[in-house]
Amino acid sequence: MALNSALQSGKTSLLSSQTAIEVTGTNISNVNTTGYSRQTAEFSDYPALLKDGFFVGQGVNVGSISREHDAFLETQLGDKSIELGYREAKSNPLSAMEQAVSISDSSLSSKIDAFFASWQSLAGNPGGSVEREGVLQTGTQVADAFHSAAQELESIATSTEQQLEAGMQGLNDKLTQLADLNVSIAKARGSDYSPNADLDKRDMLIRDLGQSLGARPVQGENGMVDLMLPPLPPELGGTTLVSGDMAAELSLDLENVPGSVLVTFDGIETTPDFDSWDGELKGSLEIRDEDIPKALAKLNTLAQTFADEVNAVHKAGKDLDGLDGKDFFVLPTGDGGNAANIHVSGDVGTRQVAAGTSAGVGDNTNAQDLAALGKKSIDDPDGLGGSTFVGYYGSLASSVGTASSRNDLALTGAEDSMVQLENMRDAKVGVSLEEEMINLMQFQKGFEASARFISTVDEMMDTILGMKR
Amino acid sequence: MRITQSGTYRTIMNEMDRLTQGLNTLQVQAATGKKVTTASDDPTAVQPMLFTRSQMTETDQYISNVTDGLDRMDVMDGYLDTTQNYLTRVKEIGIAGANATLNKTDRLSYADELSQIRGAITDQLNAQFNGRHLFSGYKEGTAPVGTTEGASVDSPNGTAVAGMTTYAVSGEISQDEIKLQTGPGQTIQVNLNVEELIKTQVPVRDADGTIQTDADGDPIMEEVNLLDTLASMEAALRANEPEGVSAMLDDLEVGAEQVRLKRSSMGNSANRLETALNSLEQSKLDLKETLSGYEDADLVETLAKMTQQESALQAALTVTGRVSKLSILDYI
Repeated sequence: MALNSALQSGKTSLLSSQTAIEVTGTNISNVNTTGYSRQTAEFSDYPALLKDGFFVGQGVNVGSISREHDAFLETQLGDKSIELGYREAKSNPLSAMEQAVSISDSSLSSKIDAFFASWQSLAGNPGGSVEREGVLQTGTQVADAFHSAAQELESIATSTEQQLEAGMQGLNDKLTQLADLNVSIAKARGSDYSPNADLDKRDMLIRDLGQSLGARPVQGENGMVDLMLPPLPPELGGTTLVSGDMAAELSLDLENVPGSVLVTFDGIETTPDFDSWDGELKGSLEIRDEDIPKALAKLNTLAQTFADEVNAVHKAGKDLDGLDGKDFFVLPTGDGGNAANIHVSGDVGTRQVAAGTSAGVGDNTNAQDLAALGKKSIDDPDGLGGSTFVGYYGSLASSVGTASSRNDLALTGAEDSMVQLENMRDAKVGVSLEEEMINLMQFQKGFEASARFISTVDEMMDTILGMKR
Repeated sequence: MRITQSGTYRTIMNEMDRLTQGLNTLQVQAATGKKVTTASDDPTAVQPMLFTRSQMTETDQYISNVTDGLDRMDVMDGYLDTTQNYLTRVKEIGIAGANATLNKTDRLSYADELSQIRGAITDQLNAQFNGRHLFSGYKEGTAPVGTTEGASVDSPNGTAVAGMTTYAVSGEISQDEIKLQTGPGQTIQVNLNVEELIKTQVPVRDADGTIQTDADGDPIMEEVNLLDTLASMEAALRANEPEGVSAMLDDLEVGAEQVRLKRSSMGNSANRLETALNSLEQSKLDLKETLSGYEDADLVETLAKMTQQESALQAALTVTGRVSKLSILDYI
């Protein structure tokens, strides 16, 4: 019965158009979903049947709902987000470090200036108790400025570490999630069901983990994706973070600082090289283990040299009672290095300030020698390498500033590239409302035409049935 | 290439973020007047900025030291001026006392006046500035001239006059030069010592005025002490010995000349201090300008840039409005 089969064919067309409209609807609803890949209903016609000597088609069906994908752009995005993560992780700590070694009017360098100026002032009135008190006070302020710079740097390291530690749980969750998605995607493959949403989610996770850890995806078996740390391929000794349905567990190794992150995979613990990490993790580790220790070391060298030089001149002088000068600054050994511990010696009071080189109250020669230290280039190669105190502090501040401004520049660059790449990805796999609206019209017309076809067939059937009355 | 709605919005957002960030930076610059507040603003400017600030702090201190030094010299000059006036009066007394027509009572009353002047001159020499003795060298806490009352002084003729007050340089006074730093590596002496003020080395002369020499042909020198000269003159007046008074007039002139000399050399030092002060003030201005070049924002330039940035932002906002106006939904 040919009309019956025409009715059947009309039904398939109606259903297919409906499915296509549903897919378009899904695309429109996900127009603002991050990481969503546009889906398309793939129509295919039913094989034609031989009827009365003619091959007549049997209608249409939606063979599959495919998902747009661009492996090239996905890789590019992955690479850029690693750079972005690395730069982002360093941006705020570097700004904070700039504040710690600031160049403001109240910075350590200004305190050092004030200290030497107070000795110059003492040279103007070597016997004056106000001037003597001034020397002690500016000395204390220098020590305080050293302390606060050292403490601020330490606290940046500490908060970076806390941030790293707090992030570990989230990273482990994501690794597990990736393994779980691998499983469900592999299952869906077997069952011929299209796991589009899972694929989107997995792409996002891979990009995320790249940004956080610098991990890169490696195509595994059965549609699964493994996650590795370089060097890639795995034969070169990369560390596996996710393999198929198994995920590694990361933990921060606090015992070994400067240390790294422990990776436990399948019960085996490894410590990847510092350089194999990238992204946010590497940025944070670099701040904690390289940038801050370097700045602190310079600050400590400055504190040590400053104290040594001042003490040497002070001890060469005589105090108000004609006694030999004592150490002006003391550097007790303790936690946190010289900068955190330097202070004006408790043995030095206003009478013990050595302004002269003789017993005379009005002798200002030593005060002048001390004031001259402010302009002295300290040649000691292990110390300031020919800089003055303020010059050395300036080079520290400027190196932190350079690192910060360079990082911000790279961060802006990475952000721009990300915007560009995401736009390219959107262009390729994203949802364009214009396109969807036109599709909607197209499928609606198809739907309407199918309905008209069915009603035509219906009329034809009526006609045939009306012949016998 | 397909252009998607989210891509368009992303680009606009990114651009807008950039613009507002730039605008914010410029606003901060305009409000604070500084273009460099952190090292990253201009890492190469950091070293010269800190160095210039060091120099400014130092220059400020030099200026304050030099001002103090000038004050000190002003005060010293005042005391020396008074001393000179007293010495002029002493000369008048000496000339009057040497006059043979004067009687004993007149000489005694001159002696009383001289006694008071001697005390007053000692007060000048023991003068203090901010609690520091001016003419004591490093020993600022010690009065340079000590007083002995009820002493016996020999007149030039050898008559012992009892019950007089004598003044002498106290033993511990040093002859240190107190120097003030007026610039990098520049020092100027700002003090005079009592020793150099009251003691003068003069050649010993024969009766006919020729200078006596030793075996090497060098002139033989003797020390003239102004305080002793004054004491001897008073003793001669009290002993009523006009020729003794007259004998002291030469030494008095030597002493007065020494004070004049020292006062004028101090005036030279004061001039040098003035010059140093002027050049310090000038270099302070120069340093300020240098520092300003590194860290201060050019207000005109900043405001011009701000206007530029604002129009860019306005353009971006206008475009954003247009994007949402154009939609396929309005046409189907």
